[in-house]
Amino acid sequence: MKRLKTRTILPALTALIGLVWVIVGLTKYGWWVEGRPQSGFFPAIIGGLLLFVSILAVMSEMKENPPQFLITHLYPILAAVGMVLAALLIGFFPALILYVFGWLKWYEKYNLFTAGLTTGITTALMYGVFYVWLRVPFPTGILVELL
Amino acid sequence: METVELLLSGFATALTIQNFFAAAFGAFLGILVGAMPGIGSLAGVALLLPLTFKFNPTTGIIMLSALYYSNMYGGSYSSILLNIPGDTPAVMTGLDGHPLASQGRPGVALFTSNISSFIGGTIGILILTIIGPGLARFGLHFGPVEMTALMAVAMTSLGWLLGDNPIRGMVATLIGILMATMGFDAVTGLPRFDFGSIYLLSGIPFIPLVVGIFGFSQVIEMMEKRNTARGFDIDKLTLKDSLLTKAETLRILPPALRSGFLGTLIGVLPGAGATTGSFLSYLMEKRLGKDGHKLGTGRVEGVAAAEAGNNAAAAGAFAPLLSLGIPGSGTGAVLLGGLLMYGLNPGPRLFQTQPEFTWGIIASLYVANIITLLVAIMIVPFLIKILKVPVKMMIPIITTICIMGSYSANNSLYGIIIMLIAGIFGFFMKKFGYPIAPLLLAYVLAPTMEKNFRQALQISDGSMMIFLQKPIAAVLVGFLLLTVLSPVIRWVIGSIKNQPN
Amino acid sequence: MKKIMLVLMLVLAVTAYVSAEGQQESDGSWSPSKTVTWYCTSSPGGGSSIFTQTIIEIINDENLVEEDIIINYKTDGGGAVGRREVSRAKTNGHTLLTFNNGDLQPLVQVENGELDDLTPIAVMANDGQILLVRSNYKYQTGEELVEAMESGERIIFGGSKGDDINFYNKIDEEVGGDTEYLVNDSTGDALTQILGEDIDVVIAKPAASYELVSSGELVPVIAATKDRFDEPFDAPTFKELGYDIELTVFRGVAAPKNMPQAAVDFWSDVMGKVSETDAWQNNYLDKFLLTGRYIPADEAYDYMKDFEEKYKANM
Repeated sequence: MKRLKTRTILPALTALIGLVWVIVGLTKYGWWVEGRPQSGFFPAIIGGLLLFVSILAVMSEMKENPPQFLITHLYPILAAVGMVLAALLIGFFPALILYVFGWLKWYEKYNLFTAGLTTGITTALMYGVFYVWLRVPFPTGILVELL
Repeated sequence: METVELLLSGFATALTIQNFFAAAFGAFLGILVGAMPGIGSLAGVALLLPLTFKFNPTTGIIMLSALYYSNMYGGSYSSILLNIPGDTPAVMTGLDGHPLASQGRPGVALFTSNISSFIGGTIGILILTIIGPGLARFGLHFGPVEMTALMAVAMTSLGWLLGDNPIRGMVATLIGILMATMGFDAVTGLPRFDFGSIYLLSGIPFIPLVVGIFGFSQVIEMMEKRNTARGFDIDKLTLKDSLLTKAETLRILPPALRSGFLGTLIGVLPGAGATTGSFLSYLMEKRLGKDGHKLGTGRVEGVAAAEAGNNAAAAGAFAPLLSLGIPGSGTGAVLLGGLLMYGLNPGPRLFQTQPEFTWGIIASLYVANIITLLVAIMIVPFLIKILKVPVKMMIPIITTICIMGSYSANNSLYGIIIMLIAGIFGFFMKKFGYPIAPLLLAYVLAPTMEKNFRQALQISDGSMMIFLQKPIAAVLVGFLLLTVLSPVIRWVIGSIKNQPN
Repeated sequence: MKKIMLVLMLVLAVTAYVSAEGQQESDGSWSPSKTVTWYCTSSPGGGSSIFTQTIIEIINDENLVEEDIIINYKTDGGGAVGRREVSRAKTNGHTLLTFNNGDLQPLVQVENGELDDLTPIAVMANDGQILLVRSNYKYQTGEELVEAMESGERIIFGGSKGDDINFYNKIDEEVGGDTEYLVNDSTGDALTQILGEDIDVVIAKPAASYELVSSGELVPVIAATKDRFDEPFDAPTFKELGYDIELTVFRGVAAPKNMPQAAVDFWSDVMGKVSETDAWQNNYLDKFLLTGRYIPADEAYDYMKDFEEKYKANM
C-alpha cells in the first residue's frame, strides 16, 4: 500500500478530471454563441475551477501526514465483487447466502448457529422486500439459465 | 367559516377504524421502503400506489398520504442509524443524526427526527389549509430568472458546510457539480460527457451513487474497527434512555418551527423540492441558531431543522399540485396519478367544484400525519436494537443491502458497478478528510441552476441585465453579493487595521 | 461447503426445470410458460408507466395471459440500456417493451439504432399536441399568433422534451419568425412557466393541461393534429391555417428482434383484446384524453417505419 502513502493522489486525479472537462467541454460542446451559453459553458467553467482548486489542494496536501491504509480495507471490496460475479453465475439470492454465511463463518469465525441465523434473517428480509414485494427482476444466473 | 366546517366534516369521514388501520399499515410499509437505501420516495410511492386502489377513495387517499409521509421518515432512519441516507433530504439529517447515534444516543436522534418531521409536516399542512391557492400563485413568480438567483444563493451557501479545510470542501463540491453535468443536457436534450458509453448517456445514476459513497465506503472503513467495541454502552440502548429530556425538547422547538415555515415556502417553488427545503433549513439553523456553529457534531437542533424543513417542503409541494394540477416533482406526478384514479381532478377549479372531496383530502393529510407519527414512535425501540448488532456482523449485511439496493434502483448491474466505484471513491474521500455531503448536494442543485440560468438568457435574448430587472431576482442577487463580498470586505478592513502605522 | 453447493445446485436445477421455455402447441400457436418481463424505459408514475400498468391490469382482470407479468423499469441511459437489452433478449416471447415516439426518436437519433432492432407488436393509442396561451395574453387565436410570428415579433415557446421539440422545430421551419424554445423535463414545468408569465406559448398534450384549460386559465390556439380536438381543446389545426404541420404521437408495444412469429401473433392478439375492453376505453383513453387506435403487429411495423424515416431525415 506504499503507493497510496501520499495524499496528493486524490486532488491530482480531480485536477486531471477538471482538465478533461475543460478540454472536452470547449472543443466538443461549445462555449458561447449569439449571447447564449452552450452545452459546454457550465461544465468547462466548473472543470476549470476544479483544476484550479485541485492544484491548490495538491500543494497544501503535500504538507500533511498520510492516513493509514490496511490490507483488510480491500477485503470487503473483493468480497462484494466476488458476490456480484457469483450472482451472475448462480443467481442473486444463492450468492447472497454464500457470501453472508461464508463471511461470518470463515472470516469472522462465528459459530454455525449465529452465522446461519444471521444469514437466514438477512436473506429472508432481502428476499421478502426486494423480490416478493417490490418484484425486482433479479437475474437468475448464467448457470441456472443453462440448466 | 365554511372552510372550517368542510374541514371538520372531512375529519368526521376520515376518522374511522378502517381508515386508521389502513393508514397505520401504509405508514409501516412506507417506513420500511423508505429505510431501504436504493428505493427512493418516487419508486416507493409508485410501487405502493396500486395497493391503495383496493380501498374506497377516502381510505385510499389516507393510506397514500401516510405512505408518502412515512417514506420520508424511513429515509432518515437509515441515515441516522447506518449513515446511509434512504433519500436525498436525509443527507442533511445524517449530518447530526449519525454522530448522535454514534455517541450512543440513536433513540434521541430518532425521536427528534420523528417529532420535527411531524411539526414540519403540520406547519406545512396548516399553511396549505389557510392559503394553499395563494401560495401556489406565489410560487409561479419563481421563473428561470428567480430560480437561477435562488440556486446561486444555495450553491454559495454550501460554503458553510465545507468544514475545517475549505479547499477540500471545494474540491468535493466541484466534483459533485461535474458529475451532474454528465448525461442529457437539460436545455438541448442531447447527451454530453457520455464518453461513448450508452450507460453514461443519462449520467451517473443518483441512488447507486448515494448508496456507494455513504454506505459501501463505510463498510470499507469499518474493517478498521471491526473488533473494537462501540464507543458506548449498548445496554443503555433502551426506550427510557431514548426519550428526549425537557431541555432537549425545548431546544428542538425553535429550529423545527422556523424550518417548518421556510420549508413550506421552498416546497412551493417549481423544481426546488424537499432536498433544497432540508438543506436551506439546516443552513438557516447554522447561521441563526444559538449554537449554530456546533451543528454537525451531533446536535438535536441539526436533526430537527433538516427533518422539519424536509417534511414541510413535501407538504408545500401539495399547493401547486392541488390548486394548479401541476406536480412539482416525480413523486408529485405519481401522487397526481393516484388522485386522478380516485376521481379527484386537481386544478384551479378544485376548491369550487369538489369542495367536500378536497377538504376531505386535506383532513386526510392531517390524519395521516398523526398516524404516521404514532407508528414511527412505536417503531423506535426496535430500530435502536439495530445498533446492538456487532460491527463485524454489520459488514456483510450492509454490503448486501448496498448491492441489492443499487441493483434495484434501475434493475441493472450498472448500478452495482457505480455503487462499488462510488464506495471506493467515498472511502478515499473520508480517509483524506474530504466532506461528502457538499458533493451530493451540489450534484442535486447544480442541474437546476444551470438549466434555469440558460433558460433565463434565452428569455432575455442573451442579456445578463435580466437578473437585475426582476425584483425577486435582484434582491437575491444583492443578498448573494453581500454574502460573497462580506468576507472579502472584512478581510480588507482587517488587513488595514492590522497595518502598523 | 461442498454440501451447501450441492443442495443449492439441486434446488436451482429443480427451479430451472419447472420454468422451462415457452410452449409451442401442436397447432403452431404459442402461449407464455413462465413469468413475462415487460420493460418500461421511463420512471414509475410517468405516462409510459401508466400505459403499461393499465394494460397489465386489464390482462390480469380479463385473464388474457396465464403467467405473471412484471414490469422492469429500466431507465439507465435515458432508456437506451433497456431498449438494447430488449433488442438482444432471447427469451422466446417472454419479453415486452413499452414503445412510443419518445423511445423511437432517441433510438434512431442518439443511439444509432433502428426499428429493425425490435419487433413491433402493436400500436395502442394516439395522442396529440396543442399550443396554449394565457387568457390574458395579447393574442387569443391561432390566426393572431401566426400573424405575429410572421411579422417577426419575439415570441417565447416552452414545452417538454422529445415530441414537443419536434413540434417546435416544425413550427420554426414552416412559420418562422423570431421565436425561442425553452426545453423542460416535463410538461408540468412548462405549464408553471407559462402561468408565471415567463413564456408566451406552451406546447402541451390535453391530458396534462385539462384542468387549466377547462378553468379558462389557458386558451387553446392551434392543434398539431389532423383533426380538431373536442371541447375544451377546440381550436384550428395548423392545416386549417394553411401550414404543412401535422403530428401524431403513438403509444405502442414492441418486443425483441428475434421473437418467434407465433409469440408475436399471440401478443399482438392479446393487445387487440385489451383495446376492445371497456376498461381500456374508460380507465385509460377517456381519462387521459387519448384516441384509441389498435394496429396489429404487421401493420404496426409499417406505421412505425414511417416515423423512423422522418426521424432519420431530421438528423
